[in-house]
Amino acid sequence: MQLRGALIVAAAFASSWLGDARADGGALDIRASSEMAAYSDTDAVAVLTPSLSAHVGNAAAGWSVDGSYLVDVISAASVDIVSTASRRWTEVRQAGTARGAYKPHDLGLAVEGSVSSEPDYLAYASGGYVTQDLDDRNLTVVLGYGYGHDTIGRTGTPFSVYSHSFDHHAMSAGLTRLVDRRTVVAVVADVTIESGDSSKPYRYIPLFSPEVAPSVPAGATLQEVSRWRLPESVIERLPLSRDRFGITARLARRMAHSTARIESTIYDDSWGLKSLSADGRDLFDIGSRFSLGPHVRYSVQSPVVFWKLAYVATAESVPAFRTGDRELGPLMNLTGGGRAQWEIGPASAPDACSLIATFDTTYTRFFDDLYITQRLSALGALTLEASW
Amino acid sequence: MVYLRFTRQLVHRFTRIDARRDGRAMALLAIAAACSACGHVAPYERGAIARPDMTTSDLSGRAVQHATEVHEGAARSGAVSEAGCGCN
Repeated sequence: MQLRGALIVAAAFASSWLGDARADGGALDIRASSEMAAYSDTDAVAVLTPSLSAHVGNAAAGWSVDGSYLVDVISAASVDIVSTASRRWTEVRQAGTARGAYKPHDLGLAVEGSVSSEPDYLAYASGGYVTQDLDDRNLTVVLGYGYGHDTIGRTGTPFSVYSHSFDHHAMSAGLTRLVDRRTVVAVVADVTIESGDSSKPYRYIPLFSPEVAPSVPAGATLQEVSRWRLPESVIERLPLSRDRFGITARLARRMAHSTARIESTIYDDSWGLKSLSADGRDLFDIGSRFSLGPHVRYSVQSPVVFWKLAYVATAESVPAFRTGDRELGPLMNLTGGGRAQWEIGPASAPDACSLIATFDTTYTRFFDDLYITQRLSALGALTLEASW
Repeated sequence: MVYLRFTRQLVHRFTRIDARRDGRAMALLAIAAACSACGHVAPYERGAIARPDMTTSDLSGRAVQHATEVHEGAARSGAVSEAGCGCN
């Protein structure tokens, strides 16, 4: 309800602002898009995500306003859920974002905020960016800061009865450089400082005796784990602070009939997780209204320092930190897919309306996990974009 | 199997990388390249640069971005990262 109210207020504010802008005679750029995405994987998770977004701006005056809203309908019966003797659950998440930017000349400012709400998780985030063009707009420097506050609870229990909070401060600094008439490169460094308890209250971690733990193999089945584990299990517990560092480089180059884009990120954090990802796509023009682009992505990561395939417990002690979050373990992802765009606007402005279809399939290899060692997922999205 | 063995070796080798140290070197290299190796592009020469697919922002839709954030332990990083993973 809070989210819906905020969206109504934002829409009313944008509407009155639009009226003023039109009265000033500015040339407005208005764009809207609608996307329907569907995700499914071999670990029995399915997600349906309809979303809407809108943009209103005046390039001459240097201002713009953006907003978006999405709903995730999630249905899951993954092996981790089954291992805790729970049934398939279905949950709905709503998320909204709003952004305003003003850049009349070389110096610009943007502020943005987001809200994400689901029965057991509420998250607010806000932040801003300052941009400065240099060297006759051949070089742009960006500095940003964002703050987020999450409340983590349990489904069916009010946050006032049970919840814990989690805060994050994010700082970023980057630059974008025109290399030549057809090439642009950008480098961004991100630092995120997190504090609070991000443990999930549903994750129960099986424990093993010191004699049994070394012989538990990766991919051990539910039945094997049930046979070998100790009768007790403990809830997930993660360290209460985490510092994250990432550097991302992007390069885009326009060729005669295609646009090539490559991106790479190197990442490290205070939990010991290190990762490297690389992403490439090439968008080919096929005629004047159609473009087609293959997409490849690869990522590999090491585990956090407290990651264990089989956590050891004795009568006197249990591990201080333990997790069942597969994305904190050693893994690699390989994604292949593509994107097709069809401009269906009138002959005078073909790109005034576009239909975009994307499809990605990802193979994930888990190197040191219980229950599963691999996952195959597919994600398809259909987007309609229009501008006036 | 050869591919998986290679990936395991990559994971093992990668644990020795320090992004704070190596990232600084990468950023310095990028800044040096940006400041020295590039020519000056005049405003009237920016037709190709102005195309929507030449943006330095992520071209992926929101659903794809969200799936990447959930699949990769490192991906949820940025000045204003949207929270709520929709998962247990």
